[in-house]
Amino acid sequence: MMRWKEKEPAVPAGEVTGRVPTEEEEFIEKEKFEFWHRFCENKTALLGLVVMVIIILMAVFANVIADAELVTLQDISVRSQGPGAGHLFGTDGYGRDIFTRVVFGARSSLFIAFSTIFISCLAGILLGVLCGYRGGTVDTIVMRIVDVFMCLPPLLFSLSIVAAIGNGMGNLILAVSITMTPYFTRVVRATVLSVNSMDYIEAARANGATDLHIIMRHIIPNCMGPIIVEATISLSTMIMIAASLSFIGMGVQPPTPEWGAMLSDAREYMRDAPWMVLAPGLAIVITSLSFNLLGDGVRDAMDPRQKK
Amino acid sequence: MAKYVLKRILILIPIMIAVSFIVFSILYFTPADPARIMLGASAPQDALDKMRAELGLDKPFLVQYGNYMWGVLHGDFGVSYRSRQSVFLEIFARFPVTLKLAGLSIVTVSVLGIFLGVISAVKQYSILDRILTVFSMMAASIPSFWLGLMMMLFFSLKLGILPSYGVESGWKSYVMPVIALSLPSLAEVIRMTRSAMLDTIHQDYIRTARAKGRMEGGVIFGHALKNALMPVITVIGSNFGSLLGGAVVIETVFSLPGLGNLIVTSIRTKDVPQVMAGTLFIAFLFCVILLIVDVAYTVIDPRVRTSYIGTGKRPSGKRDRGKPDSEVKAS
Repeated sequence: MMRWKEKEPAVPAGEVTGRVPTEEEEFIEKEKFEFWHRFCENKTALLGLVVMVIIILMAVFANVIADAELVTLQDISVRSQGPGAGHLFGTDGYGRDIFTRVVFGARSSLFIAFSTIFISCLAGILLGVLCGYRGGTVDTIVMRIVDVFMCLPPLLFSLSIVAAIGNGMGNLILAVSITMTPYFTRVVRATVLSVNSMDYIEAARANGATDLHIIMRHIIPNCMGPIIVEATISLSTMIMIAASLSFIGMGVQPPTPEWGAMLSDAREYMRDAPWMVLAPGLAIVITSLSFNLLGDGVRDAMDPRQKK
Repeated sequence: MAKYVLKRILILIPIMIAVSFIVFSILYFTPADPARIMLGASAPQDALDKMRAELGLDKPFLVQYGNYMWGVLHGDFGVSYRSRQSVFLEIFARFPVTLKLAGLSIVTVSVLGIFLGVISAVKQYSILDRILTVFSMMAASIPSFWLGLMMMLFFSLKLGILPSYGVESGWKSYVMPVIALSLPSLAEVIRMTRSAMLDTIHQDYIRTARAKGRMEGGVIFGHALKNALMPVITVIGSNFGSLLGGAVVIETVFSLPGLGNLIVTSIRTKDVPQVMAGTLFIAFLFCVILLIVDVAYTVIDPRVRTSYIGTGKRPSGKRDRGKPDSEVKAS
């Protein structure tokens, strides 16, 4: 996988800011540059990034690409029509345009994926830093609870939360976030433990820095690498769990367009109208493939074992 | 060895109690009035109150949990709100289907995944390796329920060689569900085996084994694979969880009368005891699998055996301490 190349010299950070950078800033700048350099060498990862950006743009500009009114417009006269000129991906059992719904479905799916990542990351950082930095009884208690949570299969866990608090997009986000938090907590805690034993933490402490200062200025920034890797890799898992739950009718509710829910609707028409299951499914596959490629690229680019 | 296994089984008890507490607390918040479900919408208020008292629903949360667990210990998982029968009957009838589905899938995933992963690593950079890499990347991105639908479209509706629902046609009914369910996990196991094998295959002891004149097959399977197996087993164990979760969805797709299907229909009908019992059952099953994985480490790796057995240390959680999970999950 690796290609040995001459390393180009890092861009001096001083040029950007106009002042002489400290040694630490120079180091961070160099790291960032090397990360990008390695990432861009990886063609598949770059492809993943490009596809992801396209999908995000599609979600953001959904109302430019397609007509928002068509999302829920039920036209009985064009029910179950195959792909053609008027309807690019055909129409569904209610006569709604599938292309429009797939485009707008990107909004729901991406919104769910990114907000669950955000919430569970935040909760994971809070708990992980608390455990890793404080240690002791708090650490033991929280980690035992995390262990127990991880004994529940993720999808089943999300499902039982949704069963209790009800369907809907907000509840789905909450359920998946709770499910994923233990995984982030573990990653953050392990990283904090390794960062905590570094000399610069000791130095900061000797300088009289407060705990809060050490956590905010030294611990969290130095933990970001593994957190970003974990977050990117988890993105496609989030998409999958959300789509699965919507598919069995426990997530986003109709008529909101969501890929999993669309597949669930399309099931009963599958025999006569296979295009209905094709478009939303391919949308999920492409999105999650791009996330997976991106995640792999980010991980490989950050992997310290490859640094030479 | 027996002492170690016994110790692990004893640790399982508090974990299962904690798991049951979490599941009970979550489902406690279900906004369903069981008395109303059982008696119908037009039941008078005093009948409802009487029913609630009978079910113990007027008691505080912890008392209800205590009562429930007391019942579970005696093999009584509660009574279904719908059928008014013990939920255990239904679970007992459905369990074999889920077990067959998940069991067949995990066997497929382990055997095929390790085999393909080893081939991929041994023939690194060959055409086959590239194909397998692309395949596992694709497989990890295809949602299993969609794959199930697509296979159904092709094999059932178009060719008509495999049944699209139910379990009436024997082994044929399990072909598509098992493929759909195992593909994502298969991808992960292939990738894990490949990278673990690549790590070990360049070690000195492999060169030594070759220099000794051992057959290539013996070197690969006897020396390299044996040393690469640890992370692979971890991945297989954690994937069993995804398989059990995925089974819920796959059973819905193929209308298999399994536990997952039961849970989903029970959620729709707000039959809380049934949901609770089904969820607990799957969670307990997963706990047992994790236990087996832990024991498997000691069977496979003598280093683990000597470090955990006899020292009296608690093994759980020590294994990966200080090592970022991403590292375990990654590679």
